[in-house]
Amino acid sequence: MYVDDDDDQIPNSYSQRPITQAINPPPLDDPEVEEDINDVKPKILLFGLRRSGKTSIRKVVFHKMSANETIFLESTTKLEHEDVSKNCFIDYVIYDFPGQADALEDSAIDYSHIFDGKCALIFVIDVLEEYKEALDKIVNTLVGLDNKGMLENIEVFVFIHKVDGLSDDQRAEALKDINFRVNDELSEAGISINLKTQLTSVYDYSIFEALSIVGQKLIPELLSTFESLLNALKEPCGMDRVLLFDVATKCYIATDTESVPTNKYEMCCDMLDLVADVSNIYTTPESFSFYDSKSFSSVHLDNGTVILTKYICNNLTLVCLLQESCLTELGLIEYNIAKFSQGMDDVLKSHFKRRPVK
Amino acid sequence: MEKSLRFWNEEKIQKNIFNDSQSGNMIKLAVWTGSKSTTEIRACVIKRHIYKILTIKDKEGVSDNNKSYQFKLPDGEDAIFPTQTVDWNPEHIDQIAVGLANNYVLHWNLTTAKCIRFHKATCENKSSGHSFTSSRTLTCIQWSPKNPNLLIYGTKDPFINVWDVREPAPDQTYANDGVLDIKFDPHDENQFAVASENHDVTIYDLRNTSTEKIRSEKKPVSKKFKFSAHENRTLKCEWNPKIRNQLATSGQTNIKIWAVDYSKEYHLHNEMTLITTRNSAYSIKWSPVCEYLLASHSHSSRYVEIWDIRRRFKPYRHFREDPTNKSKLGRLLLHWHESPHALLTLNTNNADLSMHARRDAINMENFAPSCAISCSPYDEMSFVTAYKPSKRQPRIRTKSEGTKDNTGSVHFPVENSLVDRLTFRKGGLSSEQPSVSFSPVTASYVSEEYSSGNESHEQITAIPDTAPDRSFIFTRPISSKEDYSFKFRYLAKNYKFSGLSLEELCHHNAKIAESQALLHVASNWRLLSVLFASEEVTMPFYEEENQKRNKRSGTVYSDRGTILTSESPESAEQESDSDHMEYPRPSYVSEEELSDEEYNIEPPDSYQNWDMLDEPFTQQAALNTESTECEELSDRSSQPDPDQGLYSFDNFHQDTMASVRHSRTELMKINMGALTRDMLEDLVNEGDVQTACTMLLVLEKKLTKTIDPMSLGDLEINWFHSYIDLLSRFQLWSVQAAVVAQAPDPIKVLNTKNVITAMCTKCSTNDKVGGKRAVLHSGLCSRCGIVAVCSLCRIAVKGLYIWCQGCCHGGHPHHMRQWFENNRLCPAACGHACQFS
Repeated sequence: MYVDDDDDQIPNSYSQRPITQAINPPPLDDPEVEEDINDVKPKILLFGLRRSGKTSIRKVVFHKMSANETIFLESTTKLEHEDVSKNCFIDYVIYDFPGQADALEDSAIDYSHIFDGKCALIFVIDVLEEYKEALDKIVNTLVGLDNKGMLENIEVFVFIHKVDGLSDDQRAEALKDINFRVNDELSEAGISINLKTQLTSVYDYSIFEALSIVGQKLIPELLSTFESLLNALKEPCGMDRVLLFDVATKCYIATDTESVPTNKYEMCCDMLDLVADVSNIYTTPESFSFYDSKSFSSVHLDNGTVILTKYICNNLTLVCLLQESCLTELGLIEYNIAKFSQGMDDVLKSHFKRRPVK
Repeated sequence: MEKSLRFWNEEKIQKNIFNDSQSGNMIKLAVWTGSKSTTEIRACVIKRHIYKILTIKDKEGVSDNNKSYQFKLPDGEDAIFPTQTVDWNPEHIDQIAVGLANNYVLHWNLTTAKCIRFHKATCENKSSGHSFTSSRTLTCIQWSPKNPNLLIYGTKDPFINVWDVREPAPDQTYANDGVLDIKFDPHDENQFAVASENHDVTIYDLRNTSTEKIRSEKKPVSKKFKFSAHENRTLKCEWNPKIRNQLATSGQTNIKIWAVDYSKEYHLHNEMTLITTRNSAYSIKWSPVCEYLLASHSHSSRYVEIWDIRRRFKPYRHFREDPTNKSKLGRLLLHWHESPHALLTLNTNNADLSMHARRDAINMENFAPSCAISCSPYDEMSFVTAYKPSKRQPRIRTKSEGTKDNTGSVHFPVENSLVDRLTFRKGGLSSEQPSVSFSPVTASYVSEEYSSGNESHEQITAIPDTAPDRSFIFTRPISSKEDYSFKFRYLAKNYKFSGLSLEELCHHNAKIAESQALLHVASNWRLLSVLFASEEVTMPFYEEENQKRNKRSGTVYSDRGTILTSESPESAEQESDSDHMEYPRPSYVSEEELSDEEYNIEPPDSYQNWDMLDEPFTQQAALNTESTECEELSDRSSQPDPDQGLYSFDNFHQDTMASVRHSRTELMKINMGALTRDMLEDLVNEGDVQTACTMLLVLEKKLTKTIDPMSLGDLEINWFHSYIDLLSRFQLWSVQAAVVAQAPDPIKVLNTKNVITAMCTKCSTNDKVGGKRAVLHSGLCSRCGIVAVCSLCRIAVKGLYIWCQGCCHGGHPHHMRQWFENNRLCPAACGHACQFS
C-alpha cells in the first residue's frame, strides 16, 4: 500500500520546486518555509457547507482513502491545510475550510495571503441536501472576494457532490438548476465569472476527473506543451487516445486534443490500479513506488482495444489506448514513447531549470 | 419537397484516397457546399499537411487527378505540422481555411496553392504575476455562411477569435472555456453556437459587444445566451438547416435537440428531444433535405446512424462501413451533401472515402423485434406487433389511396405462448372465446412507413405521422388461467347479491374480485360498502323486506314446473351447467340486442375483414327481431320519468328514520347517488357490465323498494340486458335466473317473455284437439296429471328435464345425451328426428 507518509522520503518529492529549495529541501513542518512554499505553489481551496464532503474529497484523492471509509470522517472544525506534492504537476497546497462558519467573515484570521497567487476555489455542494444555503454561500463568498479585488487569479469551480445517489435525470436537473441559480445571482451581483460546474462523487472516478480539470487550470503554462507533445506522439503510432496520468492520485495531467470520454477514463484508472496491484506482488519492500522507469504494461480488452501504460518519470505514467492492429509496430511505439519521455525531460528541465529528472 | 432534387442512386462508392493503411486519425475533410451543380461534389481531403482535391461524380466516382499539394507558409518554411481543422469557404471555391497543430491559421488559395494570409492563434495569459503565451491546440474553424471574409476559430484555450481575413489579425475575441465546436447559425449570420469543454453551449452574437472582465483584461464579450447542455462535455453542436433556432448537441452518451428560445435568459426548459447513443457521438449532421433526420457517428463503431428525431428510440437507418474491411476503426467524418443528396463519410484512419447510397442503408426496423409485451399492475397485457410483409413490397400509400389491402391481415406469431390464445372478434364476446378488447396504437414508433426500404425521404416527410396501421396494442385481462371467460364465470357464480346484509355482500364480492386480481373492482365494492352499509344497520325494515323477498323468490324457484329454455342453438347445451345449479331455472330470457357502445370494445373499421367476425353478427341480427319487444318495453319504462335517476333517494326510508337523522342523510344521499352512478358508469365503460349489474342488484333492495320501478334509467336497463345476455352466452343459466328474479321490475317483465313450455308427453298429441294445454307444472301434466317420465328409463324425472320441442319427448339429460350419441331419432320411438345439440 502506498503510504502517504512516505512522500517525504521517496524520490518523487524532489518535485519541481524553485531551485533554492530543491538544493536544500526544507522539512515540511517548518511553518516559515511552508509559508514560503505557499506563495509559489498553486492552491486548492475547498469551500462548502458542513458535511458536504470536502474532507472526503481530499482524503480520497490525495490520501487514497477508500470511499466507503469517508462516512466515518469527523467534520472539520478548523482550517486545515496540507501540502500535496506528488509530482511536478500535482503540487498544491490544499486548504480545507471548515463548513460550520463562514470562514471569510471570521476577521480573526487574515485570509488575504491565501488568495494570493494562483488558486482554485472549489465549492462543494451536497446535492442530496437542500442546497439553497450552499448557493447563498457561494454567492456571498464570491461577492466578498470581488469586493476585495481578489477574484482575478481565482478559478472558481462548483462540485455538485454526492451525485452517486441520483439518477441520470436528476443529475441533469441538478446541474441545470444549480448552474442557473448561481449564474443568475452572480449576474445580479454584477460579477461575471466563468463558473465551472462538475458533477462529482467519491464512489466513482468523477472526482478524480474533476480534480484533473482543476489541476489543468492551475498549470496552464505547461499544458499546451504537453498537449502538443501528446498529439505528436499519438499521430505516428496510430493511437486513439493518449493520456498522461499521475499514478499517485489517478488524476490526469494532460490529454491529447480529443477529449476523453468518461468511460475511457475509468478504464484507464482501473488499468492503473491493476498494474499497481500486480507490481505490488513483485516489488521489494525497499522500493517505495510500484512504478519505476521500467514499468511497462499492456492490457488487451475484448473489443480489440489495447491499453498501454509506460512510466515516464516523476510519478507520471503515459496511458495509451490503441487498436490491437497497431501493436504490430510495437518497436515504433516504444521508440516514440522513449522520444516522448525525452521530450518531457527537456520541457521540465527548461521549465524548472534544474537537474534532470530520472 | 422539390422534385428536382437529385438523389445519389448509384452504388455505394468507396475509395481510398491516400494509399496508406494508417494515418493516426489525422485525415480531415472539407466539402465545398456552395455548389449549384447537382452532378458533382467537390471535396478536399487532407492528411497531415498534404491535401487532395476530389471530384465525386455520380457515374464516374471519385477522381483526384493523382495530384497532391502541400500547405506551406509564405516565408518558405514548410508547415510541417498536421492539420487540425479545415473549412472550405462557401462562397469562393478557391479559398479554404486551415488550422494547423502549431496553431497557425492559414487562409489558403487552392488554385494557386498559396497561402493568402496566416495568423498564429495565441492567447496572452497573465497568471501568477507573469505573462506567457499560451497556445493550446486549435479545435475548430468555420467560415461565416454569409460573409465570405469572416472566419471564426476556437482553441482549447479559453478564447474564440473572429477574423476578417482581409485584416492581418483577428479583431474580435470571445472568452469561452475550452472550445470544442463552433457553428454559425445558418439562419442568422451574426450568431454562432459554441460547444465547450464544460457542459455549456453558448450562443454569441457578433454585433453585441459589451465588455466583460476576463482575467483582469477587458475583452469584448457578447454572451448572448448560455445553457448547460450535457452532463460532461458538449462535443459537437449543429444547427438545423431547415428549422430556425433548432440546435443539436452531442455529449458523452446522448444527443440532445434544443429549441433555442432567446426570450429567457439561461432558459431551463428548451430541451426537445434526447436521443441516447451508445457512445459519444463525435460527428453529428442534420440532413439538408429532411428536417427530421440527423446522422451521427460514434467513435469505434462501424455505423453511421441516422435518427428520425421524432422517433428517438431507434435509429431510422444505419449505414455500415464495409464489414470485410478489417483495418483499424477510425473516426468517420460526416458530410451530408444537399445536392446531389448524399452522405459522405471519410474514415480518418485509413482515408477511405465512402459515398453512401440510399439502398445501402440498413433499415433498423428489420432488426427490431416485431412484437413486444408488457403487463400492467392489473394483470392486463399490452401486446404490440407489427405486420411484416413476407417479401419486400414496394410501399403502398394506404392513406392516400385508401386501399385496405393490409387491413386485417395481422400476423401473429402463433407459437408464442402468450398470444396463441388471443382471438379477435368484432363485438368482442361470445360464449367460447375469451373476450379481447383492443384499440390501435396511437403513439407507437413501430410504423408501417418504416417497413419497406425503398421510399425516399420526401415520402416520409409528406406523411409525417401516418397512423401506424400495422401495430396494435391489445389489452387483455389475463388471470391465472389466462382466460377472461374463466374470470367472468367465476365472478358470476361467486358474486352474491342477496341473502346477506349489504355490508357483508359488498365485502364478500370484494374478496371475490380480489381473488381474480381485479383490484379496482374490489376497491369499488369496498367503496360501496362504505357509502351504504353504515345505514344498513339502522334500517331493520329493509332487512325484513329482504327476507320476505327471499322467501317469495324461494317459492318461485321451487316451482320447477316452468322449466323454460331458449330457442338459441347454443343454449340447448344447458345441462352442462347443471353441476352449478343452485335453483331450478324458472325462466329464460332470450338474447337481447347488445348495445355495443357500452362494451367499449368497438374495433376500428379496419378489422372488418376478419372472417371470424361474421358469425356473431349474423346471430345478433337474427336475434334483433326477437328482442324488439323487450326494447319497446324498456323504452316505455323510461319514458314516463326520464329525469328521475335510479339513485334518487327521495322517498328513501323517510317512513322509518327519525327526522333528525333524516337531514343528515339527505345531504349524504345526493353525494352518494352521484358517486355511485359515476362509479357504475365507469365500470361499464371499462367493459365490466357484470360488476355494475351486480352492484345494482346489491343496492336494489335499498333503492327500488321505495322508488318507482319505472325510474330505472334506460342505461341501467341496457346494462341488465347486456349482463343477462352475457350470462346466457356463458351458459350460466342459474345465475341468470337469479339475476332476473332479483332484477328491478322492468327487467323482471322479461321473465314472462320467451317462455317455452314443457308439454306432457302423453297429452301433447291431443293438445291441438283438447283445447286445454298439456303444460307440465312441477313435472305434472296440467291436464292428465301424470308425472313426466324419462323416455329411456321410464322413471319420473326429478331435477333437470330435457325434451324435444318437436315431439315433446324427453327425459334425464344424461340419458338423452347417451341416446343421441348413437341415435338420431327420438328415444320414444315416435319417429321424430330430434335435434340434440
